[in-house]
Amino acid sequence: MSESIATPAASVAARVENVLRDVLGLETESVPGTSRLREDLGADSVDAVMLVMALEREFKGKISDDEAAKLTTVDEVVDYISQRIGEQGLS
Amino acid sequence: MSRRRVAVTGIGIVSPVGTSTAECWEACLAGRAAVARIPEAWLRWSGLTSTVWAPLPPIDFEAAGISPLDAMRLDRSAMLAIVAAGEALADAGWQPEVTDAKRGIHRLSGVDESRGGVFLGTGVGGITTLIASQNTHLISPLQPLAGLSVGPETAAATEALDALLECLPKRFNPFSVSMIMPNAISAALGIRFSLHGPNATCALACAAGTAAIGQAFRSIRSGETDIALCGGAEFVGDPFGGVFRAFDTARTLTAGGDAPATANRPFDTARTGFLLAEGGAAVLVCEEWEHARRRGGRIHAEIVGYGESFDAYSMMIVEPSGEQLERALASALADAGIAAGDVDYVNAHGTGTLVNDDVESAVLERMFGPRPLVSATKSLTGHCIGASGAIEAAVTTLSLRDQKVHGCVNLDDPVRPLNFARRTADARLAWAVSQSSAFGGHNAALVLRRSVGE
Repeated sequence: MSESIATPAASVAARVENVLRDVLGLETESVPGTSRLREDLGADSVDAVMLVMALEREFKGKISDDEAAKLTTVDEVVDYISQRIGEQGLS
Repeated sequence: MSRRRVAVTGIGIVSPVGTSTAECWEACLAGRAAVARIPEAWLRWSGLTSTVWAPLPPIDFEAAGISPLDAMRLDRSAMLAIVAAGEALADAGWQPEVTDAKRGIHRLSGVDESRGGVFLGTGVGGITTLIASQNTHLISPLQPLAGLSVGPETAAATEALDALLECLPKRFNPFSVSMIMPNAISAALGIRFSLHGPNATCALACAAGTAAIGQAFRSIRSGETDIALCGGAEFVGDPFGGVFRAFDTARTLTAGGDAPATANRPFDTARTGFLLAEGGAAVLVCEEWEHARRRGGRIHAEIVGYGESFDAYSMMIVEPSGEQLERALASALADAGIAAGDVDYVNAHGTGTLVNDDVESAVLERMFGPRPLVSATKSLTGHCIGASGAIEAAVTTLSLRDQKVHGCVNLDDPVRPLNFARRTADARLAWAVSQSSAFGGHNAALVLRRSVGE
């Protein structure tokens, strides 16, 4: 994987994982990318709201609630953030 | 069986004169008052008569266990209460252990949680979140105009809009309702420390903190609870000075903007109004006496009486005869089983408004005469609204513990010949009173006693 100067994909994944750990109080050693936020990681509706706010804080930009509602796994969150970085002002 | 007694075993204070009990008490004893010019930016929205207030010092919320995520879903008033409660519990000897990291829930070891209560007072808790969220809402249609430069004629409007957008949250906070509701503060403490007993919010404006401690006292004494977190919290420092304007336009604030250091002068004949504080919180850990002794808790003082009354007169002005304030005091003394002549120290409401100080000092003179020492903590901290009564009860507790009374700052020419403490003094104090009056017409008074063991 080639590293872009601004934000390598690996660091996006690591940053998303940190946000998930904080919001969901996860203490497991690893958070597999295929984990489903609701079923596997135990996110309830309030956590989902908090997660969007926490991601906005971490990646410094606006995330629409409609788009966030479509994200169901950790990988989907990482892909979405990676795609938005550079393109629409997340960093 | 003898009556259940109520011990104060923990104190936590955050106020304009310090972010811990030790800092606040040291500042009080040193006569170091808080006062500063209001932020210049507030004048963009309105011309103000008063131009001074008592801002809070910077507070390290993360050190108090409030994460940046917590800060996104808690109003600042609740955050201040958590800081004060954490300090009070540590002072009482508890190191709360985390039982649910996601929800920030802790446990207090050895406490029967079903017999632990929270009684928290606030005047307008949640108001700065209300202001932020509603302004974000109202300004939404104007968002596209941000930074738009269309010529000198509209430069002022563009600048005002940009300033507003800069101050406002980018997102309408989805936790707004649970941040604005007045019971959010007591609920935040109950959740954080796993207390399942009564969880009550006392919305008695400037008497809220006093009344909350009074309710906790009654709850413990009656046998309903064994331990309670009680006090008050307030935060009114919205970035636009909107709350300040509300008090200013009602002509309640001190006019002494030319000389900030002497603007705040409770009980002085040259007083012009009160000094609004940005906010504050004080929380006491109160315990049934034997509950405290069994676990080896240090008892700072004992709460022995509480009384309340209501003016039924005016929303904003204390009833001129002071009859109801006197009745609240008399009922607190009767509750404690002591006479007015037994009282050694009165921590007065002492706001610095013309009417309050006039009526209150007349009541104190009638009831207590010239014997007890009298001081006004608001001369140091400014007026912390719903937190003020709790801060003052905490200060009264410290006075009884340390046998010291702080002075009234800027009291040069007293409104009446009471035994005002002009500067910090050592004193033999057995019984003390802390009292508050409030917008709406509420009066509340606590009687405290020096800790004397059996």
